[in-house]
Amino acid sequence: MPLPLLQVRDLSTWLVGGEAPVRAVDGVSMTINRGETYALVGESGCGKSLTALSIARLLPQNGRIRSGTARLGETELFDLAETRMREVRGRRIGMIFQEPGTSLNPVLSVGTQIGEVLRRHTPLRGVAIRRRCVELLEAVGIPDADRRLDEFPFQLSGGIKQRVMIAAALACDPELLIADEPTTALDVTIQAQVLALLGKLQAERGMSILLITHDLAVVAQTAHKVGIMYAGQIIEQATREQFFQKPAHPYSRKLLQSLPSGASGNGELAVIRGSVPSMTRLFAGCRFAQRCDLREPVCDSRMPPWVQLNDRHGVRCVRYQDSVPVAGADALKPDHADESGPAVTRPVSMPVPEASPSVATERSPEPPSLLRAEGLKVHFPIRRGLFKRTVATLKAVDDVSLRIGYAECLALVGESGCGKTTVGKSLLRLLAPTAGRVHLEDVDLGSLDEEQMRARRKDLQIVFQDPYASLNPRMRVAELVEEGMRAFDLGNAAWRSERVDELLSRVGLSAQMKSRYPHEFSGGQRQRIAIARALAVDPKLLICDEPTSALDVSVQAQILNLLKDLQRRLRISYLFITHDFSVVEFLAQRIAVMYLGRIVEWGPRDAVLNHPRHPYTRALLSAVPAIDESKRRQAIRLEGELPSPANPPSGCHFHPRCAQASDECRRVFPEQRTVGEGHVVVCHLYR
Amino acid sequence: MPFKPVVLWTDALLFLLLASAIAFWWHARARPHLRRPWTKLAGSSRGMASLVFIGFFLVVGLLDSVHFRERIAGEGSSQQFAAQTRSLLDAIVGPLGSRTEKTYSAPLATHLFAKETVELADGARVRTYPRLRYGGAHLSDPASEWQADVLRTAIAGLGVAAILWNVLALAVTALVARRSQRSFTRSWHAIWHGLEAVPWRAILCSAGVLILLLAPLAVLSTKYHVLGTDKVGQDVFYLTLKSIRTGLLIATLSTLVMLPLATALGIMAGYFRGWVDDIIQYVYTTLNSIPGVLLIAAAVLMLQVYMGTHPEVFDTIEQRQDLRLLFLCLILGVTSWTGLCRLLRGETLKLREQEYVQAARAFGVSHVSIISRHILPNVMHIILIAVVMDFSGLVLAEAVLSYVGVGVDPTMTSFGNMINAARLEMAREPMVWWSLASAFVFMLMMVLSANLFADAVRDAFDPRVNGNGREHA
Repeated sequence: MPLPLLQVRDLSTWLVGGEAPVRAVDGVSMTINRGETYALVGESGCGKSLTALSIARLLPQNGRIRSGTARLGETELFDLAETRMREVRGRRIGMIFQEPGTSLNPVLSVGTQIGEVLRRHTPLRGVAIRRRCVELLEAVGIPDADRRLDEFPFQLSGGIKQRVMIAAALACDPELLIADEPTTALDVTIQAQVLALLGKLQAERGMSILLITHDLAVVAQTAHKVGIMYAGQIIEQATREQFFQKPAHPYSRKLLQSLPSGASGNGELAVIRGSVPSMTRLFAGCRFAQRCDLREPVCDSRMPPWVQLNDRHGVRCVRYQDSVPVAGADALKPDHADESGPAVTRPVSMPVPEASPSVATERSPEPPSLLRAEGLKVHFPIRRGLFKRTVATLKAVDDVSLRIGYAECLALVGESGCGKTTVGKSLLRLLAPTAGRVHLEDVDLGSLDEEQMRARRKDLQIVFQDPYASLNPRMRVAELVEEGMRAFDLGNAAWRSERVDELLSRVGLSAQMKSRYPHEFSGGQRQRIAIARALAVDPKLLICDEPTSALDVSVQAQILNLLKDLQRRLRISYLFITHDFSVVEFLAQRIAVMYLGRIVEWGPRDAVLNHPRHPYTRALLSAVPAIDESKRRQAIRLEGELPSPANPPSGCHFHPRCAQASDECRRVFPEQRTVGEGHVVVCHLYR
Repeated sequence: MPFKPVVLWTDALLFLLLASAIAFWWHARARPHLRRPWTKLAGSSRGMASLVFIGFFLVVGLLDSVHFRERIAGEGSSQQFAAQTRSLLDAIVGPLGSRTEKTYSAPLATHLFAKETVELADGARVRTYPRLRYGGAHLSDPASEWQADVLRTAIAGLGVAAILWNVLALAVTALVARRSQRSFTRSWHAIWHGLEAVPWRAILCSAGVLILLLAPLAVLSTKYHVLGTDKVGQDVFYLTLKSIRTGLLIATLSTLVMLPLATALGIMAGYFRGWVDDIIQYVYTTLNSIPGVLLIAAAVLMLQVYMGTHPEVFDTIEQRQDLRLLFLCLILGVTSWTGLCRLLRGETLKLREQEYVQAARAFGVSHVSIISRHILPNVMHIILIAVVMDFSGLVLAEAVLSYVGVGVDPTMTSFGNMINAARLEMAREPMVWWSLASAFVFMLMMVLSANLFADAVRDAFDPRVNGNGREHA
């Protein structure tokens, strides 16, 4: 067997400086072979980033490597002097980070930043560096590379920036590329581009990739080997095929089951109770025991040993310790054979072309609607110069019409920057619409004055994306939840206090928590508080602005279940704003797809997901990574990125990225065409 | 009544400020999120050690802010009171303030600093250094006894210091023992090994240093002018103690003036934006482009003219001094609010886009409630940090302004006036160094401890250091 490229043994990294040291990485071992992609997967706070930073010896100031070794080829990384380590970084190990926006220095041109690496590590100088930079940019698929070299980061879009980062990381042909959540901050279409690029580069150069991610679907598409990390330890390690077919550890299974695509339209998602334990404490037994459904007494008292199920699959769980190593998957104890299997491997059930035409739900042709928006426009003037003259308008929302029925969930889907959040805010009048009408039941909200609007705000509420930003850290839970009731002067203090208790228990929190402050809660609990706050005034429509995108998968499942349950019990309607199709599939009855300020396709969920008509919807759906290979669609690669809404393309906004664009698309904005029951598409292809 | 209380304007404001600080402490006690940074502050040894020193200055300043006029004659309605207002501090230090020599004398000296023609008993006249009226007056032959006496007194002072410190240490240990329900010796052990949450060891050490410095000074000052005397023969130690109040007042009252302006305008500009923001920005940009000293000079000179033409308004010199001090605080406050205002405007701009503010707006909560419930509590840490940081700057500003001549009343004792007077003394041969040196040392102590404390406060309140927002992966 050839020497593996990277061998990490028993790595332990602590964060010191707090009251107790945080044992962020606790005895991690892994091996990465040449030309292989190793995916390190885990929820936030489980130590995966610190593992990578330890390997590159780029720990934050309070980080300490307590023990362990890391060998890159023949070199012991932890024994090197810092000056020698600098030779390794950039030359043998390249790194790319999550946020392309902050990883580039804004005052240096792209060429300077890539050139810096080359100057440091290669004998190239002068024109040779520039030539090499052009080569690199071309290799990462940036057109017009020569011109781009002289541009500054602010002139580049997110996807291009991430490509530049990759180019800089690849400048010296590193043997190992550490990619820390390289696509998390990017849209699905761009994510697909970047993942494809990484795959192509790996095939060309034979380098190894340590991919750190929380997204199992990305793993399923790119990785050769998977390591699942939980609370500072690797708890399962397997080849991709082994892992997705027969995940062994209860945590891995739950993780796969809690993906929204893992449940049917009416079912509930599997939920992992509680949250990741604090890593300041010492663990006597299994770290997952508190949240595990298969917990046994021994789990609490003894740390489970590492069990090698076969040469491609190892797991840290007591349930496997009696199994014979080579026996492989057969060693699974029978009593949980029923749990691996179908639910796990269930794919994002992507549209199958042959699927039966969806039956539009039992709705009458024009059902009564709770909310109707017509021709909604939100334009922001762009002002320049001494007198702040308006030089252009940014058309964030440009002529959007939508309708939400009673007890219905409409999902508004689109890439970031397409104006979906602005739609939500303008429906609530947190932003004043430039034009258009919004009817709530029969009242035209636009005709109300400020006082009347305040009274109507009761019916419309919002849940925000970031549960850390949406709760005032200086207020107790009771005060937070009560805020709306106080603003509308509902009931007296005693009644409100009772109602707070009731609301908290409805969202799955206990009433005793109401005198605590938000910082004492985890992200999922905070999001529950935010939901309770919105429910306090009995809204008819709840606008959910990406309420789960800041949460871990297991917690996301809890929140989605809660939302679904509330809808069923309270007959509440949702406008669910998201970019995540798997969530849409779980929760929505109808879907509207938005592109650059306009809705390009809407219809019942199954119709849109199974028979997408608009080329953009199709591309979007095909870019969603799927776990099951058989269900993976032929990728429709979208070129380029979302244009600026300040200067949208003529005709159909989508035509510059559309493979099927005709001359007409470039000139005329298409009409709405009905292609099925309640299924409308705005495209020239259908007439 | 043997005395008549006098409440000067600045006294009233200072005590008002103290009362509101206590009220805030009471309010914060029951609220963990408010208490948390303070608990963190209480755990910082640097912060607590500097607080001991600040506490000393604060106590001196407060004692010096309780004013009264002593009765000199009469009973009932015909009582007559002294023209001079005295403070509690004056009463405590006793004769220190009234034992004035003729002119300069060096620290601990028994003779004047300058030669004078003295008429001897036999009528002959000699030019010699005359004996001081008070400093070392108990010695019959200073040349032989002086050294031993000074040494003895200093050692007695150290003895007093040792006793005081031991009493303090025992009291602290007893307190800790009672709180933690442990035995006395175990509490003592816990304190000295830094096992307590509050760094008592640091507090006791700094208190020890402070007592060790002050007790000998205090004991020596009963017999000698321990830091010398100034041009008109006043005890320099006394002057330095009196200067503390001036510095303290300037720093705190200017803040009191500046805070409401900066907070209200800064938050309004950031929250409402639009034309409100434009107006407030124009105001502070304009104010910022006028040199502060110019404004202060103009205001103080105007006041001087008023005081010159209306002498009947003021009963005592202290009232004149006080008005000028108040006016100086006012004008310093008006010129210094722009920095904090800008800071708050920026923070509010950020906060108003926060989702919890948006959520409140979605509930139709009124602007006033949003500002008072959501914005103000979340910028409080900035205000607090700014206040503590500004403190030392304002103490120094007083010194500079008085030196330039537009500071406090020239008859008022202040660090600035002492330094201003030292300008001429430094030119003398041999040099009179002690006024400047003691003003300098005391001011340095005050500003340094305030700065160290400010650092600790910033660490405790800065959310980035604190990590009280989201936890990092």
